[in-house]
Amino acid sequence: MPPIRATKAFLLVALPLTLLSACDLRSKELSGTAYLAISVEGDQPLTKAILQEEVLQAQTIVEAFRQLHPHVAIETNLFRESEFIAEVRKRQAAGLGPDLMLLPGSTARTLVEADLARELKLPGATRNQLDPDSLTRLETTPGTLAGLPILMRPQLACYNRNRVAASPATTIALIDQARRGLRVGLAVDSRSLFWSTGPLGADQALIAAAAGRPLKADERQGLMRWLEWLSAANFNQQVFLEPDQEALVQGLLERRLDWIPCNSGNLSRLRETLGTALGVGELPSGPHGPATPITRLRVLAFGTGSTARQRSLAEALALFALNPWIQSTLTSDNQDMLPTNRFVPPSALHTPVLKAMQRSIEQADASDAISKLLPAGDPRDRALSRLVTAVAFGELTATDATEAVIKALAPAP
Amino acid sequence: MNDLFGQILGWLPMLSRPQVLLQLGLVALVVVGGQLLARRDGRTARHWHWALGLGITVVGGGLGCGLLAIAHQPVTLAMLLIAFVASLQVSELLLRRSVGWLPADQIQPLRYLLIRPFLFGGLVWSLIELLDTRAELALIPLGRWVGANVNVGDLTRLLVALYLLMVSSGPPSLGVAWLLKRVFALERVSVRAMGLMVRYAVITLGTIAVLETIGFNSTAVLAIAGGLSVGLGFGVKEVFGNFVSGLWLLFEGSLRPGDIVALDGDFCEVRRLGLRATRLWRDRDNAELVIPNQTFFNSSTVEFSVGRTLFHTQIAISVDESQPISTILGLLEEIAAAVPGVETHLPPQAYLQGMGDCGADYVLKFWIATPFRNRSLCSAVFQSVVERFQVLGIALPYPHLVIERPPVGLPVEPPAQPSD
Repeated sequence: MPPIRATKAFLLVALPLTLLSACDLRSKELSGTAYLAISVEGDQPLTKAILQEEVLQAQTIVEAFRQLHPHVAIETNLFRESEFIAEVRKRQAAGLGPDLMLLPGSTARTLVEADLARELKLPGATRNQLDPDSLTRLETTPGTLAGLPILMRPQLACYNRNRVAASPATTIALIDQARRGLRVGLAVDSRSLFWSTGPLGADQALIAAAAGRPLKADERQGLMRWLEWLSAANFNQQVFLEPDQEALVQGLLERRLDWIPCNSGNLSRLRETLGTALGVGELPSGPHGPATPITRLRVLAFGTGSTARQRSLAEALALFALNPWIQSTLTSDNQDMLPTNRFVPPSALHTPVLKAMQRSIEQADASDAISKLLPAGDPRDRALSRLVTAVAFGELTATDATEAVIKALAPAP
Repeated sequence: MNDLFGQILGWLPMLSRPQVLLQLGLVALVVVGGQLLARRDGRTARHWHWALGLGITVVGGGLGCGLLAIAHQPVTLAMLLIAFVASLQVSELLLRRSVGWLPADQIQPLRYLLIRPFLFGGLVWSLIELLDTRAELALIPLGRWVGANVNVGDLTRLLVALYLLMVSSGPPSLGVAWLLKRVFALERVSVRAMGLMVRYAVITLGTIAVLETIGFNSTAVLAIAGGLSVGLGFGVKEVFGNFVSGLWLLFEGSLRPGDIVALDGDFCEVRRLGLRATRLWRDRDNAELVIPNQTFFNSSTVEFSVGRTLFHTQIAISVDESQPISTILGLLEEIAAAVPGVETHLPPQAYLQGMGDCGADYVLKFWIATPFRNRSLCSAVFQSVVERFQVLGIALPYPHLVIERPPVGLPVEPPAQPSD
């Protein structure tokens, strides 16, 4: 390319951009564009339905924020949860990293540790508004957080009311119903299946194994019991093992399955297709304790490559998302999440679905540990899925698999 | 479509970040600096300019990126753009070096159909990966086309598949054609013609397959194809006719490069058989003629195939009727055989055609290697005959006009008046 033409081409690109940034600096009102990266759970190909489900809450927040600040634009990008950190790293290296990230709490912590997101210190008044458990999960050093907890998505039981009137209360009742024709779906990935470890007394065993702590005899016994239950469940022709959560949701949507463990984030999509036939309840408990559902804490974390204007815009949006009014609106309008702001009026949480979610969160304390120990995309998670599948299909006995699971979950030295 | 434009416009503020502008500035500096230095250099060879430009891009770009990295500034974007510029320069350098061994008519398609689209596509692909999420971008709807909800991903897939089919189906199609020709012993059909047929079949089937995967309604696609056919039939009838004729000529093998055809009394050599027109070379004035293929398809053509160009030509001559016929016949054959360029393994033959106004009319027939030498060899044979007959004292009668003038003093009779 001749030099004159190259210079012209450069000026053609650079001048409008410089003018754009100059406009940004001149204006005092909140304006400009911020980039919001949203993490999507699972490894399945992105579809329109998944995309809508994942951006639903973010869209509601952004639309409300834009009513206050009409000169603001928020561009969203979706990344797989397992690839999220690598994607952010790649973009930061080019100076194109996101300003704001909506992601699970554990990923936010990893990003801060890798210097890909900045820590934040909240004023006391804001801190007071937030759910203390969520704050504990996000605290990196005393007083600093990896991100701002925005919403909680608890794990629930979703079922087709035309096939079963209420969700079975215990794991025994669940298998019993399956024998009588209820098509039950279970996913082999650890996050979707972990709820069943509590009722069978295997939750502490998995936490110990993932933490690299030696297992006690009763913990080992509990782990074996859980694996035996999975093996026995799969012998039932009406229990279907699916590779991931998305396959379960698709099964219920297509009416191939009647009962699945689901995440509250799936509810909008399920409701749209199943309508009033969608039943939502708590996950079954068992002889050894209640269910141990996993709550997905969605957090807003801040990127490190933003301009001053983009940073203030991102912070304003994050604080706006914590506003009790917007949290209450999000909760009551979509009925697929719980707020992290403690000052959301209880009247906003009175529906049976939201009450089931609250009970699920109360049960989720044990599963917080597994979320931290086994973050999304951890290779140990895949190893566990492979072993669970092998047990369920009779390739491994529960006794052999117990040792293999302990080995597979052991953290790398 | 608006969603797509909105998404693309959304990238611009990202590019206005200081650390991004810094990287863009570095790349511009390296490219413009390289071009200026290459221009100042006295050496005139173009490939030297490209080599110098490449050196400056690599060294300058590497140094710049190193400095940015030391200053803890992002460099990936700059590295990507510098890698693109360097790849462009390397490809240009290689193309210029390959002029000696690569056919000249292959270099431009290689540059503009393969190398540059690939490099540009790779750059766009990588930039999208940095600025957006490909999977998310692919889901942006473009509308409902031919019974299918088409999104950006579908359209990209269709375009990429079509481009790849167009670009990469050539050599494999020729290979398949060569195999078919060998297996079925098709002598007259040219490999190029079959390759072309195979290629169009592959492109058509590939396009249908991609349309099918996107979800286009096959009935609607067929209806559109039918409508297009009618449109082609009326609108560009001549072009389409020439195209089909060209395809048929290629497939039939009735005309091939190297063949000699007679066009309006002139012999021409077939240089290149195109899909719309055929390029001929005319010996008479060294002109290249572009003849629409339909000409050969609709009219009878005199043609001499490659390796079968022996031409049977003749001259006519009148000889004094008092000369012995057998002697003259023998002489004529002997004279013709001695002329260089006249085929001797097919001996010349002379015939007595009859008694004319001036004498006995003979025809001398002989073979020559190519019709292009017809005029010159006929002239040479005629010249040899006349010279030899003059030496032998054999008269070559020709029509004489005798004007008899009346003796001076005699009354001149007026011409008789025509009676009614």
